[in-house]
Parts: sequence; structure tokens; C-alpha cells
Amino acid sequence: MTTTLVKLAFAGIRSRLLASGLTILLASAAAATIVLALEVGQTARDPWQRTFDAANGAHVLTTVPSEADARSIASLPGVAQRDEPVPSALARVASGGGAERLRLAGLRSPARVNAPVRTEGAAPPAQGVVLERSFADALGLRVGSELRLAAPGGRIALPIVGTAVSPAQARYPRSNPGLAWVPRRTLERVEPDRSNWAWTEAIRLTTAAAAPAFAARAGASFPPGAGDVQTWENQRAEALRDSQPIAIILTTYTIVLLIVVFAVVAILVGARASAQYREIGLLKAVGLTPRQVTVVFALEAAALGVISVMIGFAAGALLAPRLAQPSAETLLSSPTTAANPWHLLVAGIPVLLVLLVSARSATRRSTRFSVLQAIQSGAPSPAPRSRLARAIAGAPLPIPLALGLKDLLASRQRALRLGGAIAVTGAAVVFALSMKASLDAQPVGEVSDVSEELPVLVYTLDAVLLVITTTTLVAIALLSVRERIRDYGILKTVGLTPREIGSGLVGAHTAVALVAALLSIPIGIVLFRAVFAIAGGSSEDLVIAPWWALTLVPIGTLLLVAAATALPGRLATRIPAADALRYE
Amino acid sequence: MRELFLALLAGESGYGYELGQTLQQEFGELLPALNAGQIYSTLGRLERDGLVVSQSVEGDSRRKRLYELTEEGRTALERWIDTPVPGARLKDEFFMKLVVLASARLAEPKIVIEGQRREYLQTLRDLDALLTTNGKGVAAELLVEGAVLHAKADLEWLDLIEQRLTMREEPT
Amino acid sequence: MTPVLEARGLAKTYDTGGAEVLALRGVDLTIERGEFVAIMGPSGCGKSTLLNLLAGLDRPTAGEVRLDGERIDRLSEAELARLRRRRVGFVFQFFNLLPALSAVENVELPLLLVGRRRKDARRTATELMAELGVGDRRAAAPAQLSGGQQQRVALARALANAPDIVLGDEPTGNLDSASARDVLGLLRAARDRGQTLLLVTHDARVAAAADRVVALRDGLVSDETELHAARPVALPFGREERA
Repeated sequence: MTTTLVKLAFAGIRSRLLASGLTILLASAAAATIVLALEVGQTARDPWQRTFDAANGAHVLTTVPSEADARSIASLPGVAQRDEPVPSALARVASGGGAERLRLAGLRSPARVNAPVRTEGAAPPAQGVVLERSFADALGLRVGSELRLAAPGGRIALPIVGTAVSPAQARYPRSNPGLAWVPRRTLERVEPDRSNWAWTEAIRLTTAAAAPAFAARAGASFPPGAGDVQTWENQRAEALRDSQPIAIILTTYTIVLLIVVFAVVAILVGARASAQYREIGLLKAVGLTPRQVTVVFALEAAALGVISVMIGFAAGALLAPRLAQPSAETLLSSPTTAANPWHLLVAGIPVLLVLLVSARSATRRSTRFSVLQAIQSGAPSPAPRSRLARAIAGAPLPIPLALGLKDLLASRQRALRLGGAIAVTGAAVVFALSMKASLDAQPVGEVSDVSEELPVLVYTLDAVLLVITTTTLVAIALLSVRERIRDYGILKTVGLTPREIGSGLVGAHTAVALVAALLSIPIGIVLFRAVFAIAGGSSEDLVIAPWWALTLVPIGTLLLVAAATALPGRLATRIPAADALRYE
Repeated sequence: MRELFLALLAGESGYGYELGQTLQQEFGELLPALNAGQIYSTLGRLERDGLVVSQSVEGDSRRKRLYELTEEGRTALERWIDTPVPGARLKDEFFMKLVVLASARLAEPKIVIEGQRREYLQTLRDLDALLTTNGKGVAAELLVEGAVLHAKADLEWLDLIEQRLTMREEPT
Repeated sequence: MTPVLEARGLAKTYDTGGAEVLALRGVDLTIERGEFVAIMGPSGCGKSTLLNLLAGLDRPTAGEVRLDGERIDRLSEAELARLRRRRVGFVFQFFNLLPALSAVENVELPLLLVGRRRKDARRTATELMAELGVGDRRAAAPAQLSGGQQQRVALARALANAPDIVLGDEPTGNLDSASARDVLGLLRAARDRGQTLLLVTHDARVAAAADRVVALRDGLVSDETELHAARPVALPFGREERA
């Protein structure tokens, strides 16, 4: 019996290639975003390790107020290699807004542990100043130009002689103040008062794993708040955190896509189950139990899910390094493909779950009927008329529109799911518009904490979502139309013109879409607020899209839906009434 | 006809005249009108074949004969009960008419058939009208429904005859 | 008096993948006002095709159709639709009620289409349904009705606008004998009130209810019979009731 069920499942997929293709498209997109969300953080791991090794990175890095404190920490047991403590002081950048702060590290000789890794120009210590690369990029400072500082020692201009990266410094401006390296003498000029100096001790241990314990002991050796201790794991985590906003966005869109997948697959499977109502009845007559029939549909959904997850995983793993580019600024090399096989599982489970539950919920009503009912009537009984349907009956709508709405709402589940998919897509667009508004609202010249990739990512995801939803709309409209050809024949017999029938179809779908689009605005705003808060943005930076931009959502939805349903409507009403009435 | 008398005598013995009356009441015009001679000659034949016996009884004003079933009579009755009425009806007045007229070339078969069709359709209408008027017993209703179905079958047969005739005429 | 429906030399040819099927090969038909005409014939004789052509649901390959004197075989789909809503009622073998509408909504649809006001249409539809014996099932969905009830609703829908003619395609074909008798009775009652009827049927009993029976064979009219009022039939029983 199992082989029969499997064969039935595959036959089902083959017979409905378009619907299967749409399902795979949707589920792959959802799986890809999950994988991206998981991988984008990981893609920086290898490059960071390379940077750490090139720098001879510190397993423990402490910053303390005095040189003596630094040496005492260095004398704790477990130290394998240490460098002399490096002093540093704060200064302000005089050009631009004057808000950028810089920590200048004064090196007497090339560092042996936690050494800056040269990326351009001269290596520290060198005459002039070597900037950390992300800081230089953020401020648009080039090698060969000048850095003007407003320091306690007065106004100082230093020639920029090179850039470098450090495993201990994450991307500016998230990591604020920025970092630069100067000769010790320059540091004395910048900050003559030595008591304002902070001392950094970079330590390598005999075993890297001992870092947390050592860090704890080091931290205990000075009063709390007086200094700072970082293990190499802390440093790595900081570096990887650059991808966090992107990961949040991706997670949000994953949820959006999964909702759309659920809604659309339920519609597609439900429509198939209805179309094959008679066939299901025959299957049951032959001896398949209702559960076995559901199993066939579930197997189909599972098969499509497995294919989708594999495609999504491949797409996500390949795209992840591209998304993680911002972190590359502080690292030696570009982000690499992580392609962690565990992520296949983590992406697969929600996608498959959604597909299976969706398929099951769609077929439950269709398989719970008597065999005789199915074979005789050839169609499932429609859901009982809701209050909404009765309300529409009372409203003074033009007849074609009233008919179209009653038709659409007769399959209440489908109308709800379609509306849900549209609402969620609209919310994503509102999200993108609000994000743009918030970014635009930031004062010019101030370096943004948000990488440039982020808006591009959001717009791309929105575009993908829009394409998916539009394709879905057309597919579902075609589906609905195919189911109703006989009804259209009846309507023609009773005396509706083809144009009236078509306009009813388009009008009904547009009305439902309009309601969904209006709902999507508050949903999108709530979504944006939530994501913004999770990403750690302050509420004063939060700007919702202006009202005129928000009106684009319902207007755009109207146009899109009208276009998507117009063609299927025309096709359907072209069939001559006599043939339409014979349609099975 | 003979068996009907056997059935009527199954419960109790009866007088010849009464038997005739009962038959008349039950079946009316389904049977040809019975006169006394036919009744008594049928009963006489039954007695001769040993299926009934009679005895003379002094009645009110004249002598009557009382009839009752013999053992052989009962057996014959039971055999009649268990034997279904023959089904194949190969006698049809219209068919004989059509065959004769066609072979003697006295009329166009198509015309005869069309005329008969008219008759059958009208018959259907007449019978249907009967059903819509109330006050009939179940037996009457069933009889009329039976006639309707026979008429429908006859119409189908007419179509078939017409089809075969045209097939024979047109060379394929 | 112009005939309600008139067909001259009606022909229809179907092209099914190479082989041509001549469904109708030149049919002449005239239906006068108030007539009840039945078209009878074996399956495949073209009766459904003929009905579709007369209703304007399909276009003839040759010939013309006139409804109340106007030619309809050259009208556009939209014009035909507008014509049908007011002047032609249709009853199908498989009822063909719109599943998304309730029974009364089905019946009032033609009324709304010709511009009657909602309350007015609803009232007329309700009255009509009561006359046809389905008044108590107004709010039911078609799927909840029996075959006989559905056909009554369909008949109400067909009669809603008091059309020039009601066309029926095997209206009793999908009904049990009791419902079939009821529906036939309702059709006869409509005819008695002056409604012109044209039915297509393979059931001789249904045909016998008509005033005129047209026999169709192989796409051509082969015979026409005028039927008279029912003649009295003597039952063989002398007495009326016997169980």
C-alpha cells in the first residue's frame, strides 16, 4: 500500500506541474532566507580566524588605567607570550561634524601580540598615523591625506600613512571610538597628561581554552569599572555581530515568506482536492481510507518540500557571503561560504512543517465526506454562509460585483488565505518604506550604524516577495477561473454578458485585496517598530513612512491585483456558453 | 380461466352462480362477459378432469350444485401458483398489420409507423390524465402505470423498426 | 401573429480533430405563442445542439434563428446575454443552480438583471417559489436541496421574468419518477397560464404532455405529431377501489 500511495503522490505532482512549481518557488525562497539568516553570521568566522592568526591575536586583551596594573596581570600564571603594555588616549576628529572620536594607540616598536595587520601603506609604528580600515572608510579618509585632531594637546594634523585591521576592533561606527596607531612620541603630543592614558596588555596563553578563566582572574585584579577584559571569543563575537541587523531582517522576511507559503500552498492543495473531489470519492470507494488520502497529499507536500529545502539551502549558502560583506571591512579576507549541514536541517524543519500542516488543513474538509456524496455531486458542499456573505447580500452593489464577491467568499478559507498573503506582502512593503524613511531622516554627514547592504537587502527581498505574490495571484486567479467555467456558462445563460462576468471576477478580487492592503499598513508599522527595537535602534531615530508613501500600498495592490486577474477573467469568459456548460 | 375457479374454491366450497358473480366483480371487463352457460361448462370440465366434485343441494327455490376442490384440484392449484405467467409476448396486433401491409405493398411502412406513433403518444397522454384524477385504488394506478410503460416500450420499438427500415433502404 | 421562435435551415457542424460531425443538417421549426412543443429523439440526434442554437448559447454553421421575428444568430455575445435575461428562460437536466447563491438568490437573479429593485425582486422570487412548492427552502444552498427541489428552483428562475419562451433540456432526466411527475405537472401548469414551452427529451411520457411532438433523427426533423386533449380511458375494473 505504501508504494501505491507514493506513486499516487508523484503522479499528483506531475499532473499539476504549475502548482508544484509555484510551491517549490515559494518554499525555496522561505528556506533560502532561513539559511541566509543562519549563515550570514557564520560567514565571517574563517576570515576572522585568519586575521587573528595574522595578528598573532591576544587570547586575553585587557585595558587598565596604569602600566603597573598591566604588568601585574601579565605576571599571572598561564601566560605563554606577552607584549609590553601599549598606552592609548582619546582624541576628536576635527574635520566633519567633530563628533567622531578616535582612540590612538602609541607603539614604541612593532607589536608582537595583537599586532595591527597592515592593509595599505606603512605598518605601525610609522611616522604619521595608521588608521583602522573601517574607520578610514567611514570617514572617507585616504592614505596620503591628513587627519586633523582636536586633542587635549591642541590641534594636531597627522599625515595618514597607512590602514590596518585588527581582530580586536569591530566595524566603526558600531565600535566607537575608532582605532588608529601612532608612534609613542605622537601620543605624548596628543595627550601630554599620562594619567589620562589607558594601558592595553595583550596576552597569549598556553592553551586558548584557558582564556575565560584567565580573564576572570585578570578582571578580579582591579576594581570593577576601572578596566576592561576581553577574551578572543569576545573579540570574535563582536566581529560577527556586524551581521546581526541583517540576520534580524532575514528572520523577519523568513516569517513573512512562511506565512505566504502556508496560505498559498493551502489554497493550491485545497483547490486540487476540490477539483479531484470525485476522484477522491472513487479512491475511497476503491478502498483508500480518508487518512490514506490525506497521506497522499502530505507525501506530495513533503516531496516538494524536500526539493525546495535543498534548492533554498544551496541558494542561501551561496548568497550568504555576499550579504556579510560589511564585516569584511575589518577582516583580512572576504566572507566565505559556511554551508553548515546542520542549517539544512534547521531550514528544512519549519518549511516542511508549514507545507505539511498547510496541506493537511486544506484536505481535511475535502476528505471528510461520504463516498456517495462525492461521486454523485462531484463537488464538495460549500461552507455555510457567513455573516459577511449575508452582509454583502444586503449591500447595494452592482450585480456582477455582488456575484463575484459571493463566489469568492463562498470558499471562505481561500479568500482569507489570499487576503492574508496580500496583507503580509503589503506589510513588508510598508516595512521597507519605513526603513527608507528612517534612514533618510538621519542627519547628513553622520556615519550610519547601518551598512549600505541593509536597504539593498530589504528592497531585494521585497521585490522577490512582490514577484512571488503577483505570480501567486495570477496562478490562483487561473485556478479559480478554471473551477468556475461551468458557473460562467450558467451566468451567460441567465443573461450576464462576458464583460460583466469578467468585471465581477476582477472586482471581487480587487475588493478583497484592497481590504487586505489597508490592513497591511498597521501590520507593517507594528512589524517595523518591533524589528527596530530588537535591532537595538533608539526610538528617536524611528520614523514611519509618510502618509503619502503609505497610500502607494493600497493603490499599488489594486493595480497589481486588477492586472493579475484581468487576463484569466478574459480567458474564461471567452468560452462559448454551450461548451462551458459541458465543462467538468 | 379454469385456474381462477380453482383459486376461488380454495378456501371454501361454493355455488356455481356465486362463483360467476365473484369473478365478474373482481375483474369486470378484463374478462369477457360470462353467462351461466360458460360458467357451468367450465365447472363441468373441471369436474370431468377430477379437479372438483359437486353435489346437488336443495336450495331456496331451485336445485343448486355445490362445488369443492379435490386433492388433485389442490395440486393443480398449487402448481399454478408456483408457475410464473409466460413472459415472452410475441403477439402484437400492430406488428402483424405492418408486416402484412408492407409485404402486400398496400401502404408505405413509414406512414403506418408514424400513424401508430401518434396513437401511442396520444395514449400516453390519455393514461397520464387518468393518473392525475383522484379516487383510484392502488391496483388501478399500478395497472395504468403498467400500460404507460408498455406504451413507452412500444414507442421505442417503433423507433427501432423505423431505424432498421431506413438502414435497409440506404445502401451503406 | 409572429411565432415566438422560428428556425430556418438550421445546421451545425463540429470539427473534432479531423472528423467533421454534422450535428444538425437543416432543421426548420416554428413555435407559436402559448404552445408546448417537445422535441424527441435518440441520443446523438442533435436535440441538445438544436436547443443551444435556439437559445443563442451557440452559433449555427448555417441557417437562421428568429426570436419574436428578430434574427438572433448574428448578435454578439453581450447582446444575446441581454436578450436572454428578459426573454428566454432555461431549465437544464442537471439543474445548474449557482452554488454560491442561496435558492432565492438564484431565482431573483434574472429579476435583478433586468433592473427590478431588490425588495421587489425578492418579493416576486419568493412568491414564485411558493407557487412552485419550494417556498420553505428559500434560504437553503443548492447543495442542501433534493433533485426535485433544485429543479423547481431552476424552473422558478426560468419563469422569473415571464419570458417569451422557456427552453428545457431533459428537465426530468435527472429526477426520480415522483419528482419527474411533479415537475412535469408544474410545466403543464405554466403552459396553462400561457407560457410558451419548448422541451427536449428522450422520455416519451414527458413528450406526451406537449401539444406537439417533433421527432428528430440524425440532425433532421423526421416527424411531427399534434396531440389532442386526453381521451377517456375505460378501466377494466367495474368497481373503483380494490386493494
